[in-house]
Amino acid sequence: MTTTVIVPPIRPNSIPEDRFAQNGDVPDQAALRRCAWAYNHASVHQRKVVFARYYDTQGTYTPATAAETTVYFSFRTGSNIEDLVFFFGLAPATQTNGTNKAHCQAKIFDGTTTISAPEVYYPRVQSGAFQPSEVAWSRVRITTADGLAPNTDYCGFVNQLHYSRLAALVIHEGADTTAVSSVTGVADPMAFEVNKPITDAACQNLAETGTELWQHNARQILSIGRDDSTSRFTVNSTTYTNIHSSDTAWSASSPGYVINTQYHDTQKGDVPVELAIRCTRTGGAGDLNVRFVQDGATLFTQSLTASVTPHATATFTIPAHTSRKTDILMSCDSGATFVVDCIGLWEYEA
Amino acid sequence: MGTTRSAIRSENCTLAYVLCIEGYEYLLTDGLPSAAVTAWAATSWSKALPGLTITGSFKQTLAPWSNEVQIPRFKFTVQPDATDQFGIDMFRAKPEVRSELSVGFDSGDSGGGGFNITVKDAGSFATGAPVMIGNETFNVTGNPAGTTIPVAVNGSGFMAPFGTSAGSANTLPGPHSIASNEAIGTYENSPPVYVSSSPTKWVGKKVGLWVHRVKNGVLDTKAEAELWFAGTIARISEDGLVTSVECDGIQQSLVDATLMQDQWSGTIGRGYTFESDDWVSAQISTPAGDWETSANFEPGAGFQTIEEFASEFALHLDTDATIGAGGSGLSLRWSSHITSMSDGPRFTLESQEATSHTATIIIKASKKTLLEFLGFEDVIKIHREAGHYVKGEKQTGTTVGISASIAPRSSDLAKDSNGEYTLTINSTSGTFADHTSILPPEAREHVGTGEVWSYYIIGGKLLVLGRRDSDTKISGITGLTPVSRITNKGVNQELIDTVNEDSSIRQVFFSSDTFTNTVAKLFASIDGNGENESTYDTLPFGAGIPWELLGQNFLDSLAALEQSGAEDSISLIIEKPTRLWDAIRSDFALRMAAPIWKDGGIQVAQLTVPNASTADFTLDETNKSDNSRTRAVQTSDYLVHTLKVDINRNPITEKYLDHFVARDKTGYESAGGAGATKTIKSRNSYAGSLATGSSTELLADLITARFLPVFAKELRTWRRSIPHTLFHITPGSTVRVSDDSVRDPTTGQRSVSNRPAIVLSVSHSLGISSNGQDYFGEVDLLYTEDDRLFELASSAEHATVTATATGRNWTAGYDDEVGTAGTFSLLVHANKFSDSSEPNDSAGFAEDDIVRITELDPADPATADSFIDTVRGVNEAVTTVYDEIVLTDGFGNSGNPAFDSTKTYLVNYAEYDQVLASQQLVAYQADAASATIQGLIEPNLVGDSTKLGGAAADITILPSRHSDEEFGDGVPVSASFVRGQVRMANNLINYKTAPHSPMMNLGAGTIVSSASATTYVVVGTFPWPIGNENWSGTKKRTINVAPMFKYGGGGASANVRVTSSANPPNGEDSTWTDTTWKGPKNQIVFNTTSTSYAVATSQELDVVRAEGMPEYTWITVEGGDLSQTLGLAEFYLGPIQ
Repeated sequence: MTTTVIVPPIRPNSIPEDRFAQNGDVPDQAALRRCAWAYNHASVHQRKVVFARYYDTQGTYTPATAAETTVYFSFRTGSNIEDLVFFFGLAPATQTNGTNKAHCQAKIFDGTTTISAPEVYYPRVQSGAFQPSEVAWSRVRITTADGLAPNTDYCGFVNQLHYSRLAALVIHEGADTTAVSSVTGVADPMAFEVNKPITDAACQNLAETGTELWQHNARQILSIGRDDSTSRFTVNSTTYTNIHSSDTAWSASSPGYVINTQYHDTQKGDVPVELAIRCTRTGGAGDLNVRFVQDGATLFTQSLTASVTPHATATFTIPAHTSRKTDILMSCDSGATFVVDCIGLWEYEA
Repeated sequence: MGTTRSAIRSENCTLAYVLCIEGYEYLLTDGLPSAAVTAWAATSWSKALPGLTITGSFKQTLAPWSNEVQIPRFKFTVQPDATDQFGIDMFRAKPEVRSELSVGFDSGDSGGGGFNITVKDAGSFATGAPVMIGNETFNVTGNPAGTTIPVAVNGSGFMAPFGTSAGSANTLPGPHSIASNEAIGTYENSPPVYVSSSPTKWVGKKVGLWVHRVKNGVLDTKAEAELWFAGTIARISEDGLVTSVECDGIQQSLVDATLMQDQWSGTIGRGYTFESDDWVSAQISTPAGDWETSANFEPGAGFQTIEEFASEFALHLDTDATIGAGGSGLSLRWSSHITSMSDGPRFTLESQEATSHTATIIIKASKKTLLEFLGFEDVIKIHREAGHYVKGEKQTGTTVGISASIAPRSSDLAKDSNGEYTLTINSTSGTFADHTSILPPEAREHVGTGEVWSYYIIGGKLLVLGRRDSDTKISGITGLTPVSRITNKGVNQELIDTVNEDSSIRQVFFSSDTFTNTVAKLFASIDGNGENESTYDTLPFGAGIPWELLGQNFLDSLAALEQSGAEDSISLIIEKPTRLWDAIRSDFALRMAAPIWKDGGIQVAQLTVPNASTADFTLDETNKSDNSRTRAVQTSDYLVHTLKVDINRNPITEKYLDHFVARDKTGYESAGGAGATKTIKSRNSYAGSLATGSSTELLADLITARFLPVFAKELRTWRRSIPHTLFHITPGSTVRVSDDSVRDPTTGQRSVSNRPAIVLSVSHSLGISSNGQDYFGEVDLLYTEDDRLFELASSAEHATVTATATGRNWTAGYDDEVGTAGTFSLLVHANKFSDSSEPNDSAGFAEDDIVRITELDPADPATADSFIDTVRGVNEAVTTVYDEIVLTDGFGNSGNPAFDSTKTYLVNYAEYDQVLASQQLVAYQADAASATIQGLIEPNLVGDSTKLGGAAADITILPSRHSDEEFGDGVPVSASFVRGQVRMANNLINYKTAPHSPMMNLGAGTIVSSASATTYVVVGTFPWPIGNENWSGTKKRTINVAPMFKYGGGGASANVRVTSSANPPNGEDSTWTDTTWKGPKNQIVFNTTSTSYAVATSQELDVVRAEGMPEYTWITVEGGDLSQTLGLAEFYLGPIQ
């Protein structure tokens, strides 16, 4: 039976297994029902943050041309997704351009279909530095009605038009607060109330929802995208080099991302992840190599031929641990030149 | 020898009563006084009087949906002895010596160490003789002299029958204040408080009735005796020669105690408090159409009435160098004053010239509120600059002016730099109750280190939150917290209007804490000094029940109501003096709970759905105390199929603005839609965006899932007798009933066996010294027709260890000696599914049991290693730590998968149709379509735990992916299944789906060049999703932050500051330097002296939710001078704390 519930914006309290899951305990509605509510809370109210970045107020990127495609990002949607929210912080355009319809527009594609978010206009013009009062905050969405699908790899980007500028951009998933138990990634709390028969369907729904959310709704670990046409993330050396600097090896001072995966594994250990890279080979031949180096040790390496697969994914397992700085180093085959658009890494298990 | 308790509960024994009255030097007994004195030898009492008899029986009821406290009452009568001592003492009202208390004190002064009572004349008091104030007695040491009566160490609460958590000290100090001679907010008289040499009052004194076993004429000691009743004296009378003392149970104090009885209140000052940088100026148009502007008038920091301000402003303008009398631009005379007009007083500013002139006047001010204070409406913000202005109409004449449109504000409404109001309080009274640490989470977001915040009601209209800077200053006033929105949509105009009409202000107590903490504090607090119990006597008001009557059993019983552990919370709003029980009665009713007397103290009982296997007591034919047949009743007395719960109470109007309906549709339709509807006014519950603490949504879920399935139909009860060995049964106890006379709900035939039931009511009398009341005991039992509530099926977890024992050898926890008579031994943990004090997990399995061995946490749920086997034996402690379960076929045989040393296995029962009959008495899953277990038997039912325990969940235990073997028709509902779901749920919401967004600049780091290290420049700001959730009680979430940055050199070090705030940087600020934020914020600062980039040591940033979009927080990154920031290398949301 399909159940529809409103998932309240109330964080379910943690559940002590010592009280509800010991030999001699009864199948307790308080435990089983709250598990279902907790799953639904994760499914509805704690969605993935796909991309988050602020842009330097003291030197925000200035578009070189009136129309540019920037801020690439990769992600995989989770189950029970309703929409993808783009929260723009728009700075004034650097100059007037024609009709001066300065705006940004986000788009995503799954390899075959491109879906566009509504355009966000901010025609104010202010060259150079801008002030707090000149930042326009605006949210737009791409929804399932637009074709957004659950548990699907996407790559996206932002078109900055008429010299529009970004002060910040945050992209995250959203879900409908009305949860339907027949949807993958939604549990049925109403199956567990006092004196109600315990059925195989209810237990299956609960067990599969938990595992489903663990495998497909886990967080995005990092999301990096270039913010102009070509100057960033150009790789033309056979020596592994930090994506953000000229460092050729991990060090405490080399730019890197601190990743904390403690408690993100299961009893069996290790955290399954999926890596996504979008790049273009702009010269020569051969492969691009991307290496994640954590506290000096290689976490994993992925190679890809960009001309064939401009947007590629690969799965790995990484150890669960407390915070560690992780550098991203890249190299390519001799003579080749690559421009990397974005790199995304998220916890995921097929 | 045991105790009186163990004797009563196990045998027939001779008993005697001893009654103890607070501060009274005589014990009262129905036995020999000398024997009572001997039994109480280790106490403060050394005298006793005979002749005690007791009238009344003990009765307790836990009626479904009731919100009344059950208060037992006893009447004690004392026959006079030869001296008539008791009668004399009870009716003697005036002491030989008394003197007026001249310095008040509280329990913090009097508790613990010795102290002095200060009176007007101490000289007449006897050396070393106790003195009394009210109901309390003090043990005096030494010689009272002058104005000082020296009290011994632990001398307060002397001869109190019950003690604090200190126990044997037997003291229960209380406050004794002298009248404040104030009549502000509340009106009180000022009678003298007397210290006396003997008791002057008895009503209200605490009493305790102990039952002592008597063996060979010797009473059990007091420590061994059983406390039968605790209460307070309600009435004393004489019936012929006997003196009667009527007592209410100690529960009466829950009804009588008044919260906020000394509520802090005050009056908001009539004027305006200027900040040092406040300014006002005037601008006037010239005949040529230009504008001339005065210099800014800066009143200076301080408080001024509107008349004072007007006078000084006029003087300033009149002497202004540009537009004053000798001005370089215009030569004008200026006046500023309050003018009486036809529609009331108005602030007026006028310019005067000898000849007629045409002009328009503008008044500018640094703050909008300043102009509003003067009575101007439609104040306009100066675009992108500091300041506001109002503009008059063009006029012609010798006098041109501008007048405010409404009467001037009478009260102080200054705004601080964050745009929030500050109030100056002129006069205050009462006691401020600092409960900052237990404010609702949304309010705590405003609280900075060391700050004191509270809710207030202003003008009897607005509920606001404010920072208490001092007794006369409240700042940071905001109305944008959950419950505040009920009374006001904001604070600006409403606050102005309200204060103008009524400048009263009073404190509101508004807490959000766990159910255990909230109730325990209300029950135990005397005056908040921790003397009764250090953790719970922390409120300035409460019932003051001696901790000796509460204790750990009381806390455990409260924790049992919290379904998920110690985290469940309730809100409590006290906006005016309120009876304690009135404040929380709805919270108890909604939880179907009530305080009861149990095991010599107060505990909280709750109605739950019983099951026979976990019942507290067994009732059968052998333990009836009379020959009466058990009486069966079917009643609709407690039938409720529709419960309407009124919520969202406006604490000012006391109107409930919303409600929710919890309904059992089946019960509703069975009743033909008639009757059986009940309304509960839930005074502390709020829903939706107003929610805080335990929300309405959670309560509604509790009611629908837990109570309505049982109480939405007629109830079936049994009434039967019980012997004294079961007098300790209480309402809420679960029992297993076997009875020859009652009818089986399944067959209708007489006789039931091991039927589960819950106790609704208990009454009993020991029948000794009882004025003719016979010995009796009786219980009312509630049972349901359903009998398919079974325990979880047992589980055990494979221990993946290499171990040896004599002749034995386990590799990765498995001993596979194929060919040697088949030893297939799986080592299992002793207590993965049990407490160490309980039988080991392996005890859930026996020889010949059919079990299923399944891989834990399979990579693919559909292909988990799994097989069925037969248990050949179970042996505990085959190694020092582990037990073994010996299998018949084992791994790798009979088609079973091979043992994999990298895997962990679970041992569970096999499917219903595979297992032994003895294994079928646990819960199995039914086929959803047929609602039967494999077509063989009715389904098992979801139950309701009665297990005590309040330990918080360990959210760091790793989850496991399920296996498909965990569900299906006939699959057991095992402990491992529930454990798997619990772990997964805890992990998902705390870790696995919590956002994680490290972010770095793509180029060189941002270099900040500013005035100093503590002058910050915003590097970037952005909204960050934290999940849409309200947090309960005192919980919070933090963001783990670590920027990567370095120091650019040229100074000593560099700072980076990260802020979580309700709003982005203030748009009124003209630059990013030293920006400000409207509303609450939390900040953390990182410092480095290194000139090389490095990731800073991680810090936790308390989340402040964004205003108007609580699923976000605003994050701002700032750099101090010469900092060079690459970005936020670490940035993720942590678990609930």
